[in-house]
Formats: sequence, C-alpha cells, structure tokens
Amino acid sequence: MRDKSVKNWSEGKAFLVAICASGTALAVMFGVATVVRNGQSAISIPAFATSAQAAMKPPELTVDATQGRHLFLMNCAHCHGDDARGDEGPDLHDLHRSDARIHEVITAGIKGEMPSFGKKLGDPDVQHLIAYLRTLHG
Amino acid sequence: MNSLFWERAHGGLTHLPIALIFAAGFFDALAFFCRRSSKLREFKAMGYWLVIIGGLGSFGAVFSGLVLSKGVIGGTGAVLRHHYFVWPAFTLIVGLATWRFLVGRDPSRRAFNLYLATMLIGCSLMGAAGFFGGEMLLGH
Repeated sequence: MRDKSVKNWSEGKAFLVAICASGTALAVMFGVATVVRNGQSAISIPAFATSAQAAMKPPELTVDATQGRHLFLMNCAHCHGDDARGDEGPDLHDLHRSDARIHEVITAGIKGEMPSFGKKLGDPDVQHLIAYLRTLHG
Repeated sequence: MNSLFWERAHGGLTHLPIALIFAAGFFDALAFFCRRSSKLREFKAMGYWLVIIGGLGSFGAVFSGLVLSKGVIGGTGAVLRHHYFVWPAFTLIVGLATWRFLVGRDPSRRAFNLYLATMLIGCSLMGAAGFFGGEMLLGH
C-alpha cells in the first residue's frame, strides 16, 4: 500500500537529481583529494618534525631530495610510513643497497610484497626518490 | 594530526555507514518480502532513514580515507584495489540515498524493486571496498 503523503518528488525526476547529486559528491571528493594532495607537503613537514623518532631537526634537503620526498609521500608513505620508519613495508633508513638495486626495486617491485612503480614513475622521479632515501639516516 | 589518528578515524567513520547501509538493504529486503502492510511500512521507514544517515555518513568515511591516503584517488597495490570499489560504491550510495530522500518512504513497487536491486549492487561494492580496506591492515 502506497503512502502518498510522504511522496515528495516524481520518481523519474528524483532519479535525475540523484544522478546529479552522486556526480557532484564524487567531484567534491576529488576536489578535496586535490586540496589534500596540494596541502600535503605543507602539513607533512610539521608532522615529520614532531614524530617521536624524528625529534631532531630534519636535515636540509637538496632540490632533488625535496622532490624525492614529495614523491615518497605520494607513492610510498602508505606502506613505509610518513617518516619512512616502516609500517606495512620496511624501514628505509640507512639502506645498504646500491642506487641501481634501489632503482630496480622501485621500478620492478618485489613479487608478492611491493608493487611496481615502473609505469608510474619515470627515471628522473626514481632518481629523486633515491636522492631522498640517501638522506635518511639514524 | 598524524597518520595514526586518521587511520583510527577512518576505521570508525567507515564502519558506521557500512553498517547503516547494510541494515537499510536488509530492512528494504524485508519490506520486499513482507505481505503485511503495517510491517511493510515500518520496514520501509527503517530502510529510508538508514540509507539517508548512511549516505551522509559516507562523506565522513571518504574524507577521512582521502586524508589518510594523502589525497590519492587511485594509488597502487592494495590501495588501488580498495579504491576500485570505493568510488563506485560511494557514488552509488549517495545516488540511492538522494533518490530515496526525494521520493519518500514509499515509492511505487516497480521503482522500489529497481532501487533494491541497485542497493544490492551498492552493498556488494561497499563490501568489496571494505574487504580490501581490511586487507591493507590485516592481510600481511
């Protein structure tokens, strides 16, 4: 039995509005994502500086390493942690691996453990990342 | 606020809308099978309010997830798998909640059946998103 008193809109019109609403919601969230991404470098540095392990002031970074840090936060921090101290993935401080080996791991990944970034990151990006990883000590 | 805060916030803010949307689907399914008009109206009213509150709650879940993933829409590996399902589920749930809000508690039988079928798809997508989200925390 239908209750006409609570029916406000025609179903067809409501359907069109619902499609617009869901599209708008998606667009808004993608906009939020862009804002979060752009604000990331601004908010991540204080977060890095205030973490317990990084009580010491972070070292000055070269231009390459700064770009590498940004790439790290965008691509690697999910698994290795914001401060690269390890989370799902291992701690990346004091890596005893050659640049070539690090390059290979980043681009090819590790089967079953780490995804490949070869398609997403170009050679200069990987070099920036390596430059950043080389600044991680202690 | 650090990643740990957002990880916990995302966990809390995500499970509430998931539960509400599943419950909305459950009560609407009961309404679909129910023959008694008094019960049918109650089940539909439950489904109506639950999907609206769940739809509103989904914004908090997605926002906290975006902050946690540092604004990454796609990502790689487990994050990408999670996002493959999150975005369609979010879009569908917002659309369903909006439609239900505008149409009211008691749509026509045919429209309600279509709504319920779409809700089933939305719940499946949301379940898959939740599964792969959980895999990121517990799957290793």
